[in-house]
Amino acid sequence: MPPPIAKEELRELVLAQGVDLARFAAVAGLEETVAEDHRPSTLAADAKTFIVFAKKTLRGVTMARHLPSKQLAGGRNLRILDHAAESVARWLEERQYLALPTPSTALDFARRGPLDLTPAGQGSTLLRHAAVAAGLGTWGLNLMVLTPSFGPRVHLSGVLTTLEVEPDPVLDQEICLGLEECGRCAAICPEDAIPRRAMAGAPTESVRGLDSAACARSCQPFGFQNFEDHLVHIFESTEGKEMWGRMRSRKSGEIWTEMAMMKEAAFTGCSECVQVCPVGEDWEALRDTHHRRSDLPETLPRKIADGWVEVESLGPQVRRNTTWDREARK
Amino acid sequence: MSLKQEMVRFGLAQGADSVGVASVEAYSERVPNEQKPDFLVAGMKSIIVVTKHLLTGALGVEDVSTQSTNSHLALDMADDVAFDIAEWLEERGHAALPVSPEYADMDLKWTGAGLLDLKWTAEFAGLGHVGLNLNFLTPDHGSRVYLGALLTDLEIEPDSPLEDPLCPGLECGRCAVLCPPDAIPREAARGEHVNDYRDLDQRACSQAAMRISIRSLYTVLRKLLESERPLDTSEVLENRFWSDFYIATNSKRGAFAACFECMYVCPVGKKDIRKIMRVPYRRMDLPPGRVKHTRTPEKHEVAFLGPPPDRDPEYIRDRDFDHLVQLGAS
Repeated sequence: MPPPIAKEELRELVLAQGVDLARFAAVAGLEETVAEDHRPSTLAADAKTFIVFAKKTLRGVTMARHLPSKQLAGGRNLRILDHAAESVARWLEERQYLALPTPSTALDFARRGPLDLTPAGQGSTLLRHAAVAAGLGTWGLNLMVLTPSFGPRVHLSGVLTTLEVEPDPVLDQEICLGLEECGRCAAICPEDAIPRRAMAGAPTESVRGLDSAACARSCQPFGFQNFEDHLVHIFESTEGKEMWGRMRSRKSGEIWTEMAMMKEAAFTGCSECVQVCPVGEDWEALRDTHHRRSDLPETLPRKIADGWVEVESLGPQVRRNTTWDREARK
Repeated sequence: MSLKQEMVRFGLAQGADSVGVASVEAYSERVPNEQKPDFLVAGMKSIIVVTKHLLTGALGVEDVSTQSTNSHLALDMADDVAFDIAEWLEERGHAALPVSPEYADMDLKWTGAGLLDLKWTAEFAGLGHVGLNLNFLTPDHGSRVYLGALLTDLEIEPDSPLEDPLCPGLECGRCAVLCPPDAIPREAARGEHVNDYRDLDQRACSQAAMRISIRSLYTVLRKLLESERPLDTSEVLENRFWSDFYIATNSKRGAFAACFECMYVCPVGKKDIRKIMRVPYRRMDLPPGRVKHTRTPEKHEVAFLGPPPDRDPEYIRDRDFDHLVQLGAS
């Protein structure tokens, strides 16, 4: 018989792994609410509890201008979370419970392709559902999880275990301000992937959404889809010089860099929506930093007509160059 | 104890060999390229640099692949300590941005350039001296060190650069005579200080140090596309290049930090060079008296030797397919 483990003892153990938030959700509840391909049972049978935890983004990262540095920092968070999950799972197994780390980046192309990591590589669909169910945060307009302390500026991981822990309560109030009151994430999105138009007065729950394929163009700038597109582009060349130019392009170099060096960061290439979200106790210290204060105007341009509200798409200050090649530069 | 002293103590406890501080303003004024903090983020005041040495045991083995693995671990450790210090500073209310020590930004330079030029940050931070081959040397481990760095908005009293150079330049010249692609200066005007002629042909160096990378893939593909002889597909695919390319992409072994000839023979290093020279294999790299100096009233020159013949074929892998594509080659 496995020994009993006190809930708060387990929470302290998780937090001691270098993560910032740790909560518990019941697997049974997730089985009922999450879409079939994303359910915990697709990963492990018999699990009772989903331990979900989050690591915040450094303030210096959010205030930075340089996109690859932010991307790498996101990848590092995911890597640290993987190690934390492994440590927690081992601790549980030493106490005779079964435990499975559920890293965000463990893609299963039959059920969950790279789009599962949109938006911004915060965490898989299952992890985000688990985070909301565990009361770690609530859904944002862009389908990220917003936390009271750090807004969406967290990455997620978790552990499924046979240990039964009383679930934490869900948050009783939506903390996303929604399209009508805020809409900043939608206005800045470089791919216009977040809803910008809704009926006046519609609850955020009915408005939120994400065009994942569009989002992935920026948050996975040299990821799987871009790799495939690039190969097609090369092989569609009509003559050798053109093919060589496309092959020896910056894009080939960036794709190789992501495969060889950036690893987990392949999914965290855009964080525009993350860095303009006004939710979170950390926002006050971020909003007036050099680069962030010029992201968006204080009042967003928006149209209100015929019972509809529409936020204007403004886009980011800096765009990642994903198409540049040597021939074009000449 | 001052905050700086506490921070240095923390960095050392996390595994750094040394921790130093440079001023963002002073560095930005003096660094001889565009790799400046403002490219990453505005508003930072200090650069914190850490060093981590390559294990002496790893330098003693013949297998370059094992050394390469160890060099990546040392670099990762330096990077991790920089991140730990960043978190430590943020816990105390300051903002901090870890700077990737290996990401090469193609906006700075077509072939990629480091986000900061860490060798110069380390020299400005008083941790050592940039030597003849533009490798960074510390008093304890010579050029056998890797660097990590972060930026912070905390103004910290900078350290002073060393007063005396560690690298004797061409008075030693050991790195230059051994360098497989002959990428290190082998001559200088008489009386010049090493700081005036230290340099590196980066393109040549990359042939050995990054011998299995996207650059070598381009070289190989072009060679195959322009073959003078009809190609036998099975002969092309049987070449060891492809398995090495797969490993390099998957683990970075051979992709970066894959040539250590200049490190083996650098005589600086209070803590490791005597141990290294006790390894018979290392003693044969460049026995005493092998460096031939020619001094005229105008210039000082050392003669090129290259690495020991048994290691030479390992380095310039761009030659891998020559026997298949060149007419008359066997």
